[in-house]
Amino acid sequence: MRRGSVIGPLILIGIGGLFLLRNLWPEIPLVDIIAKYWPFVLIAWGGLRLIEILMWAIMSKPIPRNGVSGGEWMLVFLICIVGGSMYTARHYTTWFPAGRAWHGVMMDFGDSYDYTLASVEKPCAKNCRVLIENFRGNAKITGSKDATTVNASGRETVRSFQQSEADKANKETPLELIQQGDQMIVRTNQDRVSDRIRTTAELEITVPIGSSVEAHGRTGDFDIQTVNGTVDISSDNAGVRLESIGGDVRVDLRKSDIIRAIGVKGAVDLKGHGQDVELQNIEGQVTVAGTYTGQIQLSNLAKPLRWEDTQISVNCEKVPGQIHLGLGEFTAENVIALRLNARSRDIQISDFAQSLELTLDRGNIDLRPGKNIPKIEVHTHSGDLELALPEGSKFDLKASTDRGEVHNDFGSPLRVDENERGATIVGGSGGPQLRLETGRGAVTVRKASADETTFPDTPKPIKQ
Amino acid sequence: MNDASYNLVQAIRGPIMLIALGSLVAMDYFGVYGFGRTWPVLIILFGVLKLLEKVVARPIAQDPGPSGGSAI
Repeated sequence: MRRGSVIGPLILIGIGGLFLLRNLWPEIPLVDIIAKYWPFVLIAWGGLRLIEILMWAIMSKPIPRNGVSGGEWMLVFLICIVGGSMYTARHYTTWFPAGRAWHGVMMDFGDSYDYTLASVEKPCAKNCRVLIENFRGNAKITGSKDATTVNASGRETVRSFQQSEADKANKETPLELIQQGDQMIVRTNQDRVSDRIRTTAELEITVPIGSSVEAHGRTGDFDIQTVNGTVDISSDNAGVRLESIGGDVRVDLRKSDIIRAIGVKGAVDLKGHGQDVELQNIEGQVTVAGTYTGQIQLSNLAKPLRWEDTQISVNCEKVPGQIHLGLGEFTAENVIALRLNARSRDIQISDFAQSLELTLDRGNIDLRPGKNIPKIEVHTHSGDLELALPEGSKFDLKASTDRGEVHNDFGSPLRVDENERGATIVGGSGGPQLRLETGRGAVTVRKASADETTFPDTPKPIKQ
Repeated sequence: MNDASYNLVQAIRGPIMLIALGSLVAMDYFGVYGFGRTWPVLIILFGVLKLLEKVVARPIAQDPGPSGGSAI
């Protein structure tokens, strides 16, 4: 007799559910989620089958000879191939089944050997250009007022099968400073050794404060402080932390866990893929073109912000306060002339000035303008609108829903015009135009109380 | 009794291996331990489960005496 297992139907339900999710909420990064969480399908499968078998055993029913049949192992193998490939394709790693994992299998047969790199120092101009080439490892670059030289020192880790091989690799990869005109090249020579050996370096580099820094890395973090020139970083995978930079900053990464810049006098230009972004006290224009999936915190930006993402586009003249972007949410406080366009976001904005323009496909919008209400234009296809207006302020409001309820908690001079399915709140005392529209959802207009100028859950600025 | 527990040990081997495989890959993805470091656990686990099977099965294996062509 062939007993039915619950696993088959569950897998069908799961696949159907995933497709439904994709159809109903296309903005959910389903591929990313599947690519990262597919191993849990194996765990759940194994767990359910284990429970099933134990239940059969307790109820003294016949137990199948194999808990997981040959065909099922084939399916597991397929899931591993597909899941591993998806994980690889999303830049998480380099090769199946767990990318890092397979490379790790090769490398972990070896041992790791540590060496101290002989410190090198060379005089250079006050505004010299420091170039770090083809670097693998972490580098800390600090500008110093008194320095008239570039000084580099650090440690190197070699992963290899034999100590003699590691010693040889260490000899082949000396730390060098090469002067070419105004340019000082910091060379680790890591590309000289074969692929079977992996060398990484931890460098501490001191440069004159007027220097510019250009770094090209493969993997590893860059930590740059107190440099008055420009900073230009490109890497396959890096965390970047910048503090007190006098010039422009350009960061282009294929993958990153964090990009943090605090105190930049020039413009900031970010490109590529990554997770968290923290920008604070930026005096130049901020331009971001890429995909950042983590927590994004922007505060005190003196010049315009241009953020272009596949999910959201934000343009803002100035951010004296802060903006926070997380998965499916956007919170801002004290922003000037904000224009936002997104597919799906819940939006909370307080204390904004000059103008506000929001266009959404889907999402709830909660607005709390300050005392001086600016011109507001909001369109969403689906989502609730809530507007809290200070008492006694001047405005000319028209807030409508095509399908849904309206609540006029503000009272006079606003009035409600109801139609067949939707309704409109209109009225005002003359002043800036407030135009809010939702295709489907509730509209609420109410009086703002004195203590709610900002949203309580707006994160605090990063501590310096 | 022994027969039943022998079957049980044999049957749960697949699911346990599956859970272990999923856990190791998940651990790698979440940066706990690389699969490159942890994969021998799968071999060890398989060995342990095989051993357990032998331990449970031993009394039965001795009972039928010489196996194979003895049925003739």
